[in-house]
Amino acid sequence: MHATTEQLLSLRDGRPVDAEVAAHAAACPQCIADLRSTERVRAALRALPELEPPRDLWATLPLQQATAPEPPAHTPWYWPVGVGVAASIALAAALVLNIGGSPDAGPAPGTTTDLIAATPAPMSSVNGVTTAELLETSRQLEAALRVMPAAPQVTRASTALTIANLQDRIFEVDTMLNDPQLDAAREQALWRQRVRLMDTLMQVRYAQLAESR
Amino acid sequence: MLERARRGDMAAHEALYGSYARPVYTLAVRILGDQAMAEEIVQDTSIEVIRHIGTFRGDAAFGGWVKRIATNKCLAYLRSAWHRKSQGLGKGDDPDEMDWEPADTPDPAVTVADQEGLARALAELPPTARAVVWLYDVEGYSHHEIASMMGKTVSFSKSRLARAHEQLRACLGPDYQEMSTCMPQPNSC
Repeated sequence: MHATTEQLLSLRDGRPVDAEVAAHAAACPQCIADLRSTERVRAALRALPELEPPRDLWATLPLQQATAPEPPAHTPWYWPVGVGVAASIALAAALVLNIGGSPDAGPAPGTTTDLIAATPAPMSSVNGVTTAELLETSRQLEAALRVMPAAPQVTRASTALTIANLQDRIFEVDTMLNDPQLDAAREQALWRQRVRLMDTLMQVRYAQLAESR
Repeated sequence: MLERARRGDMAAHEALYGSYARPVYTLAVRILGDQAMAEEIVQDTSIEVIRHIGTFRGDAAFGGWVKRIATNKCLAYLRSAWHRKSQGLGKGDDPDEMDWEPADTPDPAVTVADQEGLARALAELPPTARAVVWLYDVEGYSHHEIASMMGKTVSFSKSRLARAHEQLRACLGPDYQEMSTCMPQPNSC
């Protein structure tokens, strides 16, 4: 019985393996060749050249954001660049441009809840749609949030708290979505919940921007 | 330089960025297999360095501290629901649990045994196998550290490393063993 790759890697790295396996691997031409192969793969990986970033990323850093006080902890959102960008920018642009509209269109003064209530409803409807549609809506909202202007330096505490709470809840949903045992119905319910949370977050962010003007 | 950066000198930060941009970008490309995401990792890491350089105690290498930040960001991305879904929308499977096969069956006549081929083979690995083999074999993390960072077990880390080696060998083909001896010193081939 030949040594497994896991056992060969243990031998390569000096970790303990069963004595019988070690004795076999030391005498078996096939295992010796495979062991050398694991060493060569490692050496080759280490010899791969360093890569140069394709553009000057320092120049694109939002330095104002970097030097501002750190926002409340939240889940980092990532989505491959270029996916759905057009739709997202259109959505974000529409929201941002609305800020400069007529005074009547602006949020009412008062609590964050008032601000949310005064904010135009988002485009998405989350009832009676498929998981794939929910994912698409989530993706658009995700991208739209990413291209919205940075948070203003001065934000009322209740707004900041609402944003932090929403981000925390989205993080919790993401964690549940990563459960490999998730069944289809539960998954759809979670994506629906995520879309609703992101809709609300979008509205609060819009309100936050309007508030700062 | 570090002291100036700690005092908020952005010119010092830019000089530091010059020292870590390439290693961080390389790390991110190798772990994520995606250049656009790697650029975002570099940017996010830079922001975190600027914000938290005051917490860097200096009892370890600055480059290692920065790479640790970047590594955590890469792994957070791999853990995210967004990444998981982008790998297999509707399939309901963890991409790492799906049956794996190389994108193309290696043709012995054109087997890739150069660095470019290895980089491609690495990029074609399932995400966690790719991350584990890079972190273990290149960055020098232990299985315990990798398991802790990924929120998995040591067995998971070991099995993904073994899988990565098997798949790299399969992808690179039978000629790889002989030809790869030249790889650490490409100009000697």
